Amino acid sequence: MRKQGRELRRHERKWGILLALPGILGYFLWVLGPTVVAVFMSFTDWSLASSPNWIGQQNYANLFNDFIFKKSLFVTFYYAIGSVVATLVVSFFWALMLNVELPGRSLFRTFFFIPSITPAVAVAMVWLTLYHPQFGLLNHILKSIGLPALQWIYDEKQVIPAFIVMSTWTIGYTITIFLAGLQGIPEYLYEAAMLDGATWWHKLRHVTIPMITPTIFFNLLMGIIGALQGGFTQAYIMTSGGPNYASMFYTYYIFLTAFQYGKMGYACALSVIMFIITIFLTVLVFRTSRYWVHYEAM
Amino acid sequence: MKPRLKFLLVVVVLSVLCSTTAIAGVELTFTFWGDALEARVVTQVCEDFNKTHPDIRIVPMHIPQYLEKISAMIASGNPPHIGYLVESRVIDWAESDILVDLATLLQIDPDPIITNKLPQLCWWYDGGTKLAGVSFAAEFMITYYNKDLFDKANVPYPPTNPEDWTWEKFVETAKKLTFDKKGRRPGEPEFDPNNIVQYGAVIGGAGTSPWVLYPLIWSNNGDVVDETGWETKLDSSETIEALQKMHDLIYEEHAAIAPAAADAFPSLNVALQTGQVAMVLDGQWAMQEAAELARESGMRFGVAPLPYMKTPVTGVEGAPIGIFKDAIKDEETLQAVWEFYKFVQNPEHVLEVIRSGLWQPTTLEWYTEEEYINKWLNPDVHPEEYREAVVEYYKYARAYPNAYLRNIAEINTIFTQEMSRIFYGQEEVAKVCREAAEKIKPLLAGRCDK
Repeated sequence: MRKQGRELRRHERKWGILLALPGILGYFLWVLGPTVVAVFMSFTDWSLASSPNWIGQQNYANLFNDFIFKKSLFVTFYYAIGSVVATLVVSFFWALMLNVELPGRSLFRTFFFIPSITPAVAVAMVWLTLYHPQFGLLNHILKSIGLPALQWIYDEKQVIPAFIVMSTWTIGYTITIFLAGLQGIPEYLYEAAMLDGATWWHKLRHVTIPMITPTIFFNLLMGIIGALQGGFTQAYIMTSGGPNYASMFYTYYIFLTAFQYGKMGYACALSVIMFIITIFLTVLVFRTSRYWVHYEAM
Repeated sequence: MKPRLKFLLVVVVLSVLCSTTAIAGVELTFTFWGDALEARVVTQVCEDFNKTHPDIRIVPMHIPQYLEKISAMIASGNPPHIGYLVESRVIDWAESDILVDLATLLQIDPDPIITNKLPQLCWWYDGGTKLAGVSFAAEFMITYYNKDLFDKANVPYPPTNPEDWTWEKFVETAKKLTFDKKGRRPGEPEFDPNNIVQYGAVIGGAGTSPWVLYPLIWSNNGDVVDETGWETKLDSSETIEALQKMHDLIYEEHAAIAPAAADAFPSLNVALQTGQVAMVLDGQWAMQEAAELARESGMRFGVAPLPYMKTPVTGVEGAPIGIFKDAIKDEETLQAVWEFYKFVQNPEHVLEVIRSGLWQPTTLEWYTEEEYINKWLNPDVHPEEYREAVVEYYKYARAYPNAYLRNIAEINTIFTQEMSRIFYGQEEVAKVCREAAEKIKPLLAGRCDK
């Protein structure tokens, strides 16, 4: 018997490794490999067309004199903070609504998920028409209720808020994760709260939110990582980084530097900086999580 | 299962055999971008070439995300033999020595198809001694207008002679074609600039692309850089004055639509067709779509040169085709590539795209000789005044700095972002120009053709 068990374990181990191999190889080849190469290339003057020469920390030193780099960092943080907060609040709200027992609930859930599976370019095109300063639907609504029309993505002060509003449209995944979190809250906690005479607000404040903090934590982390890499499609399709660099997202600037300007070495340095920032923020969120994330009973 | 496996094996072996026997002689890859029509015609050109040249086989590769893909191909040491060159990258590629110098090939074989190209379409480097590529298409910046809107307002059409189409005349015409909700024009009592239903003009790409802005600035003797490419002229009085005039046309005269509203049109032709704008300053590439809209909706559109401030001038754009050194292994391959180069550069072979209105031909005699002009002008596409307004306009066409100025991609980014401060943000023109000039200065590294 024991021999047979050992055989089986060996057999399973062999197959386990074999089946995981494509994923592991893929990770090393297509993720870790290029990351290491990018770090190396950030110390060179590689232009894609010629062979790279080692130039030390020159690319990093140049960042200090690059006003577009500074601007794009600011733009990206501004967008990230706005879109992460907006996305979390809006998707939590809709998850709460969609968690209520109502007829046609799954239909509504589908509706909210559809924008998330729509191609980003199509989404950008739709919003381009919505934001049209003269003939767009949004300005039409504003005008009809007596408010002044906005310039939306064509004004340097309004462009990022406009993109933040746009980011709350593709929140299907975040809603789904919140919904899963909400459904994992044991019913007896609500029953206990009810016996204590808790109102809707009390239940939300003292049961739902504390119980769902691990989900909020996950969505916050994913949101930060996603938002710091976000904005590319918007800048590429809708604004070309303008007006006046106001939507020069970090990823779009990396793209311009790497391909349009042919400064791959410098673009790698830009990517490394963003990588470090992302790691720093991730660690920060993890560190603070022990003060506000509750894992009890989950 | 077994007989089926055997059958599969036979099929695989046979197909491998067939494919290897097909590759007799030289096989060359040719990369290009373009819309559906362009892709079809260019692929057809390759097939036509293959038929007439049995020893050479061109493999056409239509690549939509061209710049990223071709950059990766170059970086990996596997560039195509021949391909379109991305305008903003040509100088760097040429100076990195990855392109074959066409001038050396022309010395041995001065084929008139290449030597008779419009000089503005030749991309020289190394002080003007080496040739990186020659444009496969030409595109002038011109004026499009909706004839119905002119007739309705009883305004004469723009002139076809570039010398006659002055900025003042253009502004006057635009003002006559601008109407508010109650049919009042700018300058008339109680004209309401907040409720304009028809604008006289639109400056294509103002604040978002330099295609139309550059020639209008040049026409006032201004420029982004001086002749040497080492000094900026963005803060010169001529440049500032030109930009001020464009700004005033939009925000003072209210005779041109603001770029924010113009950018959001599906295309400027649609603005023209739907009667929201009477004149559009844009590239000749819009001709094909304009003609399509004319056919579908019955719009009668006309064309004129670009208006000018002091000197009549327009810009001519066209990406070049180049040959990649790394792909050329021997003399035989080089000769085969050169044969195809001459073939694809012959306007005769891409006539369908030219007659559709998308491209203009690139060879001089196609602008000067009756026989050739008749070949490409298409009465279903090109309006009757096209010949005088556009064909004969070639003498006024000037190459964009893409073709000669180092770091042009970065300069263009800064230029368009700074221009958006004027055209979207309505900031003071002189102040923006001074600040923009300071930002451009560190990027100036001279011209590669001088």
